[in-house]
Amino acid sequence: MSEDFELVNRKICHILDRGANELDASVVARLRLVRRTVLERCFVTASTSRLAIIDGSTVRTLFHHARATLMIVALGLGAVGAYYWNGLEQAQEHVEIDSEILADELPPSAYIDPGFQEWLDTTSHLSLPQN
Amino acid sequence: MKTIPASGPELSAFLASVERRAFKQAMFAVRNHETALDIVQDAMMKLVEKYGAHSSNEWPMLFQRILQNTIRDSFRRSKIRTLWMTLFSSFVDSDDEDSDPLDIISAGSEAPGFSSPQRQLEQSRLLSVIETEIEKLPARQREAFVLRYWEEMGISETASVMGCSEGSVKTHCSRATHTLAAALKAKGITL
Repeated sequence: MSEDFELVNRKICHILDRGANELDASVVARLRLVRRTVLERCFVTASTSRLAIIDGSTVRTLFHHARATLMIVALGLGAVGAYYWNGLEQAQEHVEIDSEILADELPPSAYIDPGFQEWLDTTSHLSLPQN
Repeated sequence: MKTIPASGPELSAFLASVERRAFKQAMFAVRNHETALDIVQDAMMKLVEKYGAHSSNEWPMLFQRILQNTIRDSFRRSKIRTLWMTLFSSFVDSDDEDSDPLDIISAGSEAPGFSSPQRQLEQSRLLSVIETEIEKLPARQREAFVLRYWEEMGISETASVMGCSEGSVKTHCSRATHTLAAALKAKGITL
């Protein structure tokens, strides 16, 4: 690169330096505030993070355990609830069939139907759930 | 986990020494005070958090690398948003082109004192013209020029900060220098 360009570069940078040194007072104040904020935030975070390492990890571990326990309990409750609900529905169906049979609301052809007879035989041992 | 800064006063002094130039560099790229201040704050935060415990000799280069990356990220994010602002600023620039910088220079050379208000005004206009021309440079050329000449980094350091080869740095610097010289010459400014 020629010396002329080097000289121009130096002069340009000199002018840029002057521009940086002659920033508006408001900008300089903002920059000072930014610098202080950064340092304060970082030092406070760093100093408190040391103290919080043990407590924080303990709390996090406990939180994870509690969350897992809650999930297992919720799953168990759901399974029991589903089983109980299913039993109630089956019992209700049986009650309806029995009441229809007792009320003679079934068509006579149902008694001739061998499939129905077989169904009666297989389900006759079923009774209503004990309360 | 965050590293703990080694020395508050030392870091504070370092940041104070670089904050103005960092702000100007950000301004060249984003042309917005608030965004430039955000960029400087982000760069300072990253330096203190991640490299505060490093040797103070490493801070200048690390800070420049962080600053350039932050500028690049911010520039990418706001590229579309500032499209209209850029167009608007180009209209503003055309107004500046109406004024003849030769008048400024010639008037300045005739001025009796350096500290006269007229001289100061001329200097500030000259500064404005140069800063505008630097803003107009392609991002990589501007980055190379600022790091290499303003920050007085070596070619290898500049290449490291920019994440490119030394040959690319030389090319970017050469193009930036020629572009700036031509732009100033076209405006009748001789330095």
